[in-house]
Amino acid sequence: MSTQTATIPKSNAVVEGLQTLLSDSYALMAQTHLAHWNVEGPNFFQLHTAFQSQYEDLFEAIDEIAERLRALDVLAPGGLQTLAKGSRIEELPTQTTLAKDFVAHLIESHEITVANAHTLRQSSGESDDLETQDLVIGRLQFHQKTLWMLRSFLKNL
Amino acid sequence: MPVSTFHPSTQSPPPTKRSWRQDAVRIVEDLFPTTCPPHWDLLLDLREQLLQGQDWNKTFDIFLICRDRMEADHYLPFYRLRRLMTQSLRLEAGNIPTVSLEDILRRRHRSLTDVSRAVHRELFEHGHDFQAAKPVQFRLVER
Repeated sequence: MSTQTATIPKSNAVVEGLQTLLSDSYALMAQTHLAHWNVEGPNFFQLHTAFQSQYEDLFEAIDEIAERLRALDVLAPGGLQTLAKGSRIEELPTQTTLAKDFVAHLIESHEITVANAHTLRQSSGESDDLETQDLVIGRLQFHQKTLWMLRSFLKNL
Repeated sequence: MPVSTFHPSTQSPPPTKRSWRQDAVRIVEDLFPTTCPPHWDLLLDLREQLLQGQDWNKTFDIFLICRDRMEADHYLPFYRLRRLMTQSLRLEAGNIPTVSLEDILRRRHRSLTDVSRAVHRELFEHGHDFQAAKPVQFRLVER
């Protein structure tokens, strides 16, 4: 009879994918937080509130992704500089920015995260790592829903 | 025991001199199915300028016309084009300190808005009914 092994089997593609997802989520959280603080204009209240809800979700997700890495017996990368290097998401400069530009920037950032998460969903499936795949699917659902909301905001302005 | 180290360098590189024009053209091409036919000539001109244009002033001019006509309904593609062109101008200018495209675009918009406001203010202050007034002709001199 087979017994449960002490360590969970893992592939490099899954580990690298989780590290990228962690970096993207961290970068996106920081950019969403920046938008939450600095957004101005007639849509201030709705955007300020929406951005807060989004960065809070990302904050919880970061912990979940890092703990999945630990469950795979891999150290989770940390520190602002290290995580910034691991993501293609660009930082907005600290300057007055149109509310629409904040939204457009966050759309681009979510799109980058989704593209990388798709790759991870694929590789975790191929590696039969269904727990990681389940986590990634949950993250994809959040990003896709947020993209729908942000894109809807930019219509008919 | 940890088995993997973190390699941030595996990320895709930023746009290069070779790729940015193709990326910008792709954004313009994606606009065709979602814009009305009267805008297609403008989009074709912009596409041509982005692909072959050597004169940045012409590229700016056609970009600004397109932006003025279409941005309200297509904010995201024009945001992407703006950012792509901003990065690319820096690339093509190498390390020479230069005014960014973002600044140029902002200045141009500001100057046109200022001119429009100034004309309306003059008409108002001189008691002209600018609804019924004849079209005002003026020459814009850029220094």
